[in-house]
Amino acid sequence: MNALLIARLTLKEAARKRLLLLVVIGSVLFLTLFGVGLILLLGQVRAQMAGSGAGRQGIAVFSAMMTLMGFYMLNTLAGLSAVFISVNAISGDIDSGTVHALLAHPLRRRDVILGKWLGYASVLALYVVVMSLALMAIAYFVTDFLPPAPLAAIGLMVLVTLVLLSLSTLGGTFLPTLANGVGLFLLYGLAWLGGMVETLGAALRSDTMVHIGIVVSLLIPSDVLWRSASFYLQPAAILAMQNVSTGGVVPFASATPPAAPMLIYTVLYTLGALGLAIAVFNRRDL
Amino acid sequence: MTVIATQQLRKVYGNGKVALESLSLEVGRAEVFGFLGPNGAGKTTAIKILMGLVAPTAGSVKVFGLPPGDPAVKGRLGFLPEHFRFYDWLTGRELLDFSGRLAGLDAARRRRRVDETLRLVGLAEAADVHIRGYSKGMQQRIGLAQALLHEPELVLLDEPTSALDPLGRREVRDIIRRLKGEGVTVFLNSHLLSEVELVCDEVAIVDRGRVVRSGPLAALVAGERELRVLVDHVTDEFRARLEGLGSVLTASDTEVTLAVADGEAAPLVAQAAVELGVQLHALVPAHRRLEDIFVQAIEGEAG
Repeated sequence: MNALLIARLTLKEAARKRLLLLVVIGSVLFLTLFGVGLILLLGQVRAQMAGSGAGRQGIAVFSAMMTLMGFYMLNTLAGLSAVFISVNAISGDIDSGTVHALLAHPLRRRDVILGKWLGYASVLALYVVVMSLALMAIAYFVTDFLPPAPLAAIGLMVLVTLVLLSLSTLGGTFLPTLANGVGLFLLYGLAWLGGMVETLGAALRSDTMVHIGIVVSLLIPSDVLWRSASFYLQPAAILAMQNVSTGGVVPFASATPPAAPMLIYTVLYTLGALGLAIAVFNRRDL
Repeated sequence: MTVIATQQLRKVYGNGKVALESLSLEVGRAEVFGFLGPNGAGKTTAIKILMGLVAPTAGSVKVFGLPPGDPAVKGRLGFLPEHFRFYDWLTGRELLDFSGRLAGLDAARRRRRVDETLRLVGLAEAADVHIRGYSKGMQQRIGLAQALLHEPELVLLDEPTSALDPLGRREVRDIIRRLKGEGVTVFLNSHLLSEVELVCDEVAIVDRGRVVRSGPLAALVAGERELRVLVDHVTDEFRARLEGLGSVLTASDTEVTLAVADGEAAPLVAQAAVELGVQLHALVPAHRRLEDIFVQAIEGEAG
């Protein structure tokens, strides 16, 4: 109950602070660039392919690839936003002393953690859903392409933000804001690198590289989640391209559906980080 | 009834700093308890332990007979931290409303209490201004308001007047007296002796993490009296006689201040002056002020 009051306050804060306005402006800019870029590129591709027999097929593949790229950028944007909005959620309140006044009220420490997490999770989920729908609408109007299973992809992208949110919440319970932020960006970058190593390893048939990628994914599953999401955004034509030719790797994307154990692991990872955040926060002196 | 009870409370922080050595306290219902000590004596650590914000290294602590930090305990108390800070994008009214929600007040009572406490702390006019725009003193006032909003049985105030001007200090004193009148227990952390002297009934003087003097303020102050003796010239003989009557606190050529045990000393001093031919200009008995007791207690501890 009290956690919900904190969540409500967190939502109010997100709405009232300039941060949200900044995110909205940035996002509108991103969508505009995506739309304009798509129109311009598509015009060029059409001009080049005019007359050639594979024109229709080529344009369809191009449209799907561009939409995939758009989602890839959106996923990165959402991940960074998750870190940005929550990085000082706990440590900031500890530094300022706000937590003293807050915890003087009849609520438990876990209410503070859960409430803030819930508040930010709602903001992030809403952001990913709205932005994904906008992106799909733009892509559809420009290219006539619709991803085959967008809902599954959006769900997985929301999960990406929740993984980062939980990690950021955990870091905030024992690290200063700056250290937490630097640590999260390092981890986020590591996940991206791990994903690249794994994708390349698969193409080069290097087990070592694949294993390194998997270990990194276990450490921070944000990139592997994105690659799972990407599967649902690609039409059969692109998936087939990746499967048939060994050199036909699409970077940042996966041609196989997510494995159930990986999904279960990620959900447990997110809840585990949140639980650990509560445990650490419960024990520390404030 | 005991509201706060601690026994041999000890706190050593992670960096090895001993904040509390061994603190044993008892605060009864409807008492205004002054917790007095120099900066760094462990006052804030003590109040944080009472609030469940800091876990003691050893010893026991009970508030309303329960472990501190329990929501059931926190529902019955109000707390003003030393430097009150809250989400500064809220207005004063919004802060109090949120505070009231957390305390579980229903909408009608919340609205009534928000208005009442805003008036009480003199912020009715600034109620709809963002806390960001508040001065330090106003922030402290809104902090006091959120501590009193839900009509708690116990109020813990950590240096409540540190950010206030003399007028604000007086208002806070009046509020404390009013709380006392309503039967509210007040735990007041302060290094301002005058403040404690004016409002408290019980006092504990703490230094380097332990209580060095404690008791009812009246008893602490009444137990010792001071006698100022003003004469034309303090002769060696006269001074020797005075030393037999009490301990000399300060002495100059024409004035001696004595700490004496009771009121019997004054006539004896007058008699000595007459016998020794010293001209007595004035003989002023006074209660010893808490400040002197405080200084003596801290210095005694150091020496």
